[in-house]
Amino acid sequence: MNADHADLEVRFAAPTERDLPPGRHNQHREILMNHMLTASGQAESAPARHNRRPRRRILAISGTAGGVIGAAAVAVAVIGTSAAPSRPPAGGHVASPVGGHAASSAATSPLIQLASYLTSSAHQQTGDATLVIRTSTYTTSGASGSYADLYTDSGAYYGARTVSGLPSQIAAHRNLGGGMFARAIRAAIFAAHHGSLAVARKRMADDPAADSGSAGSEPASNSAAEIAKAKALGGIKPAPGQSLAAAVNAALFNNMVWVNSVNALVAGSGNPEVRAGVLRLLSTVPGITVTHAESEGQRTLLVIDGDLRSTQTLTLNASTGIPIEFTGGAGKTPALTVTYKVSRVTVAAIAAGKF
Amino acid sequence: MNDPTPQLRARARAGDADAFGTVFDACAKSVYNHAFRLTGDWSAAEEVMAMTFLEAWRGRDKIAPDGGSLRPWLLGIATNLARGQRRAAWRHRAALARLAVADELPDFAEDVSGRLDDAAKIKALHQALAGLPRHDLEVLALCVWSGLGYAEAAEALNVPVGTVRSRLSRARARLARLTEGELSRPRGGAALKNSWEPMTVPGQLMGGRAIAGQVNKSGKEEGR
Repeated sequence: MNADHADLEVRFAAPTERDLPPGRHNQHREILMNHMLTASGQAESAPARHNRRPRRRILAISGTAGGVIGAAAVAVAVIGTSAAPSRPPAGGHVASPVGGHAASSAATSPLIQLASYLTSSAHQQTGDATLVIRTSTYTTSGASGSYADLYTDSGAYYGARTVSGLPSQIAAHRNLGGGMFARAIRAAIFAAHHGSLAVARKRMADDPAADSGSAGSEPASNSAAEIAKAKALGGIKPAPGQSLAAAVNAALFNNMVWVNSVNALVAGSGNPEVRAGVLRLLSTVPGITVTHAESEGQRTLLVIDGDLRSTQTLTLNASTGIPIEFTGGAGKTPALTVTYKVSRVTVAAIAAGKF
Repeated sequence: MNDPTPQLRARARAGDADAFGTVFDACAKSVYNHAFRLTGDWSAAEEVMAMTFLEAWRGRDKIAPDGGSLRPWLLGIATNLARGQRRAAWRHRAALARLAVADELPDFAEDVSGRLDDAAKIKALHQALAGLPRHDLEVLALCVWSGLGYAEAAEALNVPVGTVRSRLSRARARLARLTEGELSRPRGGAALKNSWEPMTVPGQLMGGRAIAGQVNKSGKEEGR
């Protein structure tokens, strides 16, 4: 016990440490070793200078944000910035499935269409940060909480329970980003402006060689029994000639693309370049479906990752790609619903308490 | 337990997979428990632990050439992941589940009740500490619960040692105002009062054969 804070150790004693559940240590170790051996021998290099977003001419912009609707309805974010496209891509029927495996139909994917629209349209950026008011609600317990997330264009992240808590965080230089969001945003911007989605995926997954190392380069060593076992379990199914280990690695890699892309979409939601890049990247993740929907008179895209048993759904504004809602859970009722209210701001204004 | 040989730092930095494996053996439990104390959820903790080592491997070039145990660095990564990774990796979880079923694992049902008790205890602690800023809570978790020294906590959080001291001092001052009654009384009703969101859907557990087979049925994850 450290004498300097023995009082705290006594008063706020945490539960006794536990081992991982039986067998899990070796499983995680095996996955880590497999990942290290199949991934690149080199750590990720510093991002190239050309990944930096070009300077933009700043025009007048309103900077308003969307509203968050109640739990029963799909939340709708009304984008009031001039960065929003004036004419959205085609589509917009209520709940009309438009894609199976998005990766196999990238050319016609609504995500690609919207991404192309965002990158080809003239956009003006205002402010130097994106403010996201995030509200999480857990269905089972009814617990909910709101948070104010401030993502600066330079990669810093400040968080507080309310917007009014942000100025003190900024003043104290409490950047919680740790480079995580900045990396993902850089990868998204790269994806928006470069043709190689394979490279963009690697950057988004934070491992330059994980894709090639896990998505088919491994020698075919799978047995019929392995494939049958995987099929029986559902979920991860090795492709013909692909080992179960390779399939697991591919699943891990695609997971990183999905997780980091959604992080980038939220953190960079005020930047159409980021949104465009994320949409392109999401279109490459196997198993994702895209559905047009409509709520409160606003067209949305539902990006659905999962199957009938368990699903994550990301709801986007169909015209702007700005995230509106994220749900996750099994069955028809999501276990968790997160809504986002996005606006462009300046760090100086937030720091000065001008909300 | 710490990684036994500080020399592992150099080997890990150079990309020696075996060295990372040794570090994993030495530090996985510590990272796992630290993540649990931050998230209040054992399954989330397991995911954070797994992601911590993958992230450590990805960022191995950031390991300082000199120093001792890599544990503070790993705990710092885990702290960041627990803080920022609101939406866990369902595919990662699914991948683990496949391996879990593939292996013949002993059932750990007897362990479940104890883990549920732990979760209730840590939830109560989080509620009691709800008034602390997140930074102060993280310092408390590292120093008080994980037993790091000030310098180690500073390394984990990449802040000066003085900052660690001041945050812990501030936490102590705030907590001193709490009465024992306030510490034991649940607060906040249904609202989340602490600074962290739990990473997983309530009630989810991970591990064991039966549970592993139910991973996809029990809900996938949450978002940030």
